[in-house]
Amino acid sequence: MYNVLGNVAASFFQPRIVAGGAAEAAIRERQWVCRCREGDETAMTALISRHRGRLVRTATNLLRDRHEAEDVSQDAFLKAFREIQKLRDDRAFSGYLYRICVRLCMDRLRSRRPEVVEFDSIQPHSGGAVEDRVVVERLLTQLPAELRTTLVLREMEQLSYEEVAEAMHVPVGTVRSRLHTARERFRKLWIEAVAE
Amino acid sequence: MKTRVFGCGKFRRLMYEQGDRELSPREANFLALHREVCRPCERREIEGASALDLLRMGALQPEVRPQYEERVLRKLRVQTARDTWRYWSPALTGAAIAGVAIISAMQMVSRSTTLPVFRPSGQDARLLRMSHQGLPILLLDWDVSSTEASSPSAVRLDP
Ligand SMILES: [Zn+2]
Repeated sequence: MYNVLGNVAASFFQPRIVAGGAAEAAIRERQWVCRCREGDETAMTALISRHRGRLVRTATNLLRDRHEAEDVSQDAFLKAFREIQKLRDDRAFSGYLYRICVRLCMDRLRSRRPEVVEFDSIQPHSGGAVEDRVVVERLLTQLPAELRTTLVLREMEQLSYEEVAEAMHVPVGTVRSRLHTARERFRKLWIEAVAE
Repeated sequence: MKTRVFGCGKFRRLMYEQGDRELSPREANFLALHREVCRPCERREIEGASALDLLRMGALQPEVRPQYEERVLRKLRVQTARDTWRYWSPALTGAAIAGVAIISAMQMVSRSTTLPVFRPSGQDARLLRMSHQGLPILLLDWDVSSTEASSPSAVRLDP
């Protein structure tokens, strides 16, 4: 009986504890952002440690190049710190940083020359993870930056429509229509690649 | 004979949206019914799902290289130093030009003290002969009767 009650109490309080932890982390982050404005490098290091993983992963999936992705993610931190006076609400640092990173990635994608991709023989789901990644990379290069970014943020980064809209600084309706177009194009490209 | 099926556009939209949100019972019913009567849409749905599965499997999970933070901070310090230099360099250049101008002016003033100083007083001092190495002799003639004797009334070269 005691154990049952204990479990109920634990499960009842768990979300509160998690929410409390998140709130605590948010408060700490706000303090770091505040200290960043004064040029405190310790606070900057804390913010970099907190966000680097997500930024590097998103940039890698968008650019499909680890070294370039790391460069871009670092540039995003630099830009965010140098222009931190533009950030009105300290609570919004995470979104502000992520937006900068996505924008920098899109700039890189736009500046790339369109590649002529030839598929020798792609067997659907024949290869291992490495082959899948190569195929995905080749198919993605054929999509324009806006469609590619929308697709990657939704399908690989698992962002909601609202989060994609915020990251790309576009309305949710635009995300919806771009996503539909991107998925359709990706499907057609994949069919063409398999057929070749 | 080809049978035309209505609602293919709606099906294509919903076939992707079912992965993004929970469809209403009406929408889910529409998908099921349309799938049964429209083979191309059914095939398209399977292809779309396979393509998106492949895309998700192609996601990368890169590891961040060590000393990432240190590298960002180093870049930031370099950029800040460069910005500081850029900010102050116009002022420093201006100051340098002004300094050179002041030094040149001071040198000119100090040289000008070696030139003859003439204060007209009486008839004898009416004419001034100015000569310098290698330059023609210059004669300056003052009209001492004039009240404005600060500048010569005639300037001519000595023949
Ligand atoms: Zn149909």
